[in-house]
Amino acid sequence: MIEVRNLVKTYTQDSVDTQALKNISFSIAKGEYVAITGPSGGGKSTLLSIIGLLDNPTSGEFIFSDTDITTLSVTNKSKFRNTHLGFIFQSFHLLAELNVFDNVALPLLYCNKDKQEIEHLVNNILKRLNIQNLRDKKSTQLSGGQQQRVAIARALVNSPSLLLVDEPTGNLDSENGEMVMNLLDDCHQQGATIILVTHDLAFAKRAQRQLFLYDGSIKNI
Amino acid sequence: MILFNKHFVYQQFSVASNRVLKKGWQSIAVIFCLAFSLSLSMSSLKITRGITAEDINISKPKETFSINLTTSNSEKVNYKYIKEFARQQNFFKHLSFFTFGQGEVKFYNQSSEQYTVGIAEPSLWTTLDLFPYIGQWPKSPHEIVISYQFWENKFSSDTDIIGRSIEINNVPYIICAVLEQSFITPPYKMIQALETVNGKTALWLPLNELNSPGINEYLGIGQSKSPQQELQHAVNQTFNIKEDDKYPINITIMPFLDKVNESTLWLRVFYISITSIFSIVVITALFNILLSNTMSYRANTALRMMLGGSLLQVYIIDFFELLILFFIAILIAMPFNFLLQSFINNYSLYSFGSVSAVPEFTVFFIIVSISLLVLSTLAFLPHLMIPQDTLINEQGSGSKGSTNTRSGLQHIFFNMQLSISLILICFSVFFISNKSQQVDNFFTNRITDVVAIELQHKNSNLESLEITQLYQEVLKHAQYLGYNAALSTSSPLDLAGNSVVLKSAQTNDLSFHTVSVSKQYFNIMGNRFLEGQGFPELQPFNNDIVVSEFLFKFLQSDSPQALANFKSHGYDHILGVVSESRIANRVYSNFIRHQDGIVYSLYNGYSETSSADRMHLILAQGEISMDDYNHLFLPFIQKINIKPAFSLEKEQKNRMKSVFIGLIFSAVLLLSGLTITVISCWSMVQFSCKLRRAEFGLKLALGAPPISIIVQYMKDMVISVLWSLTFTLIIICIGISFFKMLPGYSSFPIGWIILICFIFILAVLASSMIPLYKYIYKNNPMSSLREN
Repeated sequence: MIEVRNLVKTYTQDSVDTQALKNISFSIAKGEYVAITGPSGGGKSTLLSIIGLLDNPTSGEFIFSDTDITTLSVTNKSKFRNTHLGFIFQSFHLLAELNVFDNVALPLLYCNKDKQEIEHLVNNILKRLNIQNLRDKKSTQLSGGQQQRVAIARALVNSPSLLLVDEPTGNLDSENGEMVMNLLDDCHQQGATIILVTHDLAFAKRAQRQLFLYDGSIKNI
Repeated sequence: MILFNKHFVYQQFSVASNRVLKKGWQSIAVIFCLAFSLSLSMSSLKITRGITAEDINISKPKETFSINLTTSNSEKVNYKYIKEFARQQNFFKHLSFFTFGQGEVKFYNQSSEQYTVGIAEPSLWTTLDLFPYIGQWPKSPHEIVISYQFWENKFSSDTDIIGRSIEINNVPYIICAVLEQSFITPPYKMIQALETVNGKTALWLPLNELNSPGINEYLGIGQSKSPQQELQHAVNQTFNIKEDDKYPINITIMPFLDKVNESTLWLRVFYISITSIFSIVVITALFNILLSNTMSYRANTALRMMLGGSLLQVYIIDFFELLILFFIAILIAMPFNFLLQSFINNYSLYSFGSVSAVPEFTVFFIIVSISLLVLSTLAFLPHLMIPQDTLINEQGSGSKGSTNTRSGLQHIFFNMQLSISLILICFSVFFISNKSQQVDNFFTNRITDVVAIELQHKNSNLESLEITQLYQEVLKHAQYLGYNAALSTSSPLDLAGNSVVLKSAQTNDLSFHTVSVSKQYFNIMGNRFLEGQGFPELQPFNNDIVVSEFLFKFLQSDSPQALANFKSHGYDHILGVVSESRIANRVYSNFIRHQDGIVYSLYNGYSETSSADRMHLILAQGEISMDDYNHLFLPFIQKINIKPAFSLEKEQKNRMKSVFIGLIFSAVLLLSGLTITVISCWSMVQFSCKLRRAEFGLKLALGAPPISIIVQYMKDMVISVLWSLTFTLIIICIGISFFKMLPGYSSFPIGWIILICFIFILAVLASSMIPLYKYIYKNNPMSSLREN
């Protein structure tokens, strides 16, 4: 499903080049659950940004279902993100201006689904994550665990083929962290491909495979 | 299309509404400023175009003229003179005179009240092509016409009013007609004092031999006999009813609408000025709100784009916010507009047609469309300037670098606004300094009682010496007849002589005009000699010259070689330096610099400029009659074309009017520039303080005195302002070097530059200090440490 070949990412600041990713190559099959671990500054978030089309690599190829993603235009990247990818972040990133329903419905609105379909899909996902009672609440009225569940609902509502998860438990207590990880397990069991970036080795072990990133290179697969 | 998805639109609209509500007082202030600006703009086209024929019910504007009869020495005009003038003239088909006064009005045995009373010849109504609302126009000296408003208020619109009696100044009159509701008293300056005391003219008495007030000014409205027949724009004649009349009557004839609009000119200039200032303030304020949105909601924008939203879909929230502000402002602007128009119509003589809250659709559509287009483009600009990838990356990788980017962008726009405002300030001051020279000139060299007549010989085969002799003959003839006369090769108010440019390797190029005049010229024009004297009566030399004050100052101040260079070109016999009364009319001037002044030579056929085909005969008197024309030019009628005389005093005043209007608009530019500076500094500091709240809090917590933070911040501001100044200076240098090439503009004085910098820095400091003070002392930035 995903094939990364010789991926390099270099940042330049004050005329000094820093290589965040050094010739990384790996592949991920459809339905696979992969954890990316490693110390801070190892290149985890950079790699996730490139896979999530949030950033461009300096060189190398990124093939997603036989398509070289790096060659897509800005508009096509937007469409691709909307239809194929789901994001879950450590700090939830919910829009404070919208209620839970509208936050979850946002990706559906951008792909121009009609009202009935949006209602149906959003209600289904809220029910699946057991947060239908929060539907009309503003994100600022929710606890951290609830906010992360809403963020997961938003990531899943468009049935993406790849779920990108960046430190999902970083802002949560252990109980809520466990709950979120269980949700990810459920998603995986239902066929979702997941890439999880985490510091927590215990959570990483729940994945089928681990990639250890150290100083911009993959050390163990 | 997603933009037509109802749920999407609703959602974006509700977010935009929340943003408007969240801004609270800021939104209210912007809405009211916008409403005021819109209400001013709604009527601006109507008001600035002036009063039209439709506004005051004139059916044949091209044939309708205004006639003023006055005595120059305040002697009262006898009505018999008016009748005689009307009988003798052969220009007008209908001609009616009227005037105004106060009257004690009494009816139905009620106590008497004082009203403004019009006194008009009964033919006035037919001259104006009017029909009465009820009744018939007066036929006898004891019949009067009343206004619709007077009929409505005092007689409760009683239709049986015709034939009833009313006493004015204890004389009984019969009401014969009620005027149409839309009738508006012709707006003349002279009746303003009367009208403002007692409202609009309530009653119209008949003007006749028995009922003439005996005043020194009468107004008239006339319809010319044929539409093709054109009167001169302003004809000044002296009308003597008999040869031995002691007090001749001055007559001025102008197209009626010109006369009316002449009196509304300053109101219109004031209106445009206020509208411009408000519009600029509002556009700047709105732009800063939208810019601040772009920065403040950047994280939301990034998130929306990450979820697949396009830039346009994200931007629509800003557009909705703009629409909400506009919509509320328009609702408020409608009654504002109504009040404004009512105020102008009720409390001044200047009526610009019917009063309506709803503006003309086309004007309204154009104003709103342009405003929305400009603002939405400006608001979209920051979105476009941020690369999408960077924006998304900021979201993906936390807030790394986003603060710097936001702050950087805000600074770019802040500097842009400062540069624009500084450019406005500099150019306005540059124009003001140039115009003020002309104003100075006007007040020190006012021309009184001088007329000029342009002459042009008819024979193209004449040699230059023969031309000179011909014009000298005209002068001698005029002097023989007893006129105090002089000749000038250029119009005495224009800089239209021969242009000379002296190039030199050692000094700046020197350019001036050369004009040939006869000996009496300076005396008649009232030009003072600052040094030396004019051309001598006996044995003048051909190379004798008199230079203008400006040229002499320029020669003295430019460089030591400038005067030597000037003299080396044959201008070595300077007799004197004379003050200058010219107000250059740019329309008639060419594109060559002429700011260096004028060289006068004697008109004797031998000097270089004596060969001019056209000549101006200057006469020391206020006006000239047809008799004067006949006496002066009858012997030369076959040889010379003679143009109508024009009063230099009036022409000078007319030109000063445009100089004053220019001064007002320069002041508007100056005010706008300062306003933009204040608003942009204010917004910038406010935004920046929010951004640096934690930094300020930490510094204060570590024991830094508040003043040290303020000083540090002001240093940052100065660095930022220096960038704007650098950019602005480049633009100003280019602009001013261009303007210096134009006629009428001199160089930019150093004193003004210092003044501008002082005003600008003062505005920047004042507008930065207030929000900064608020954030440091009132908002306690240390609380941000607890939040973190």
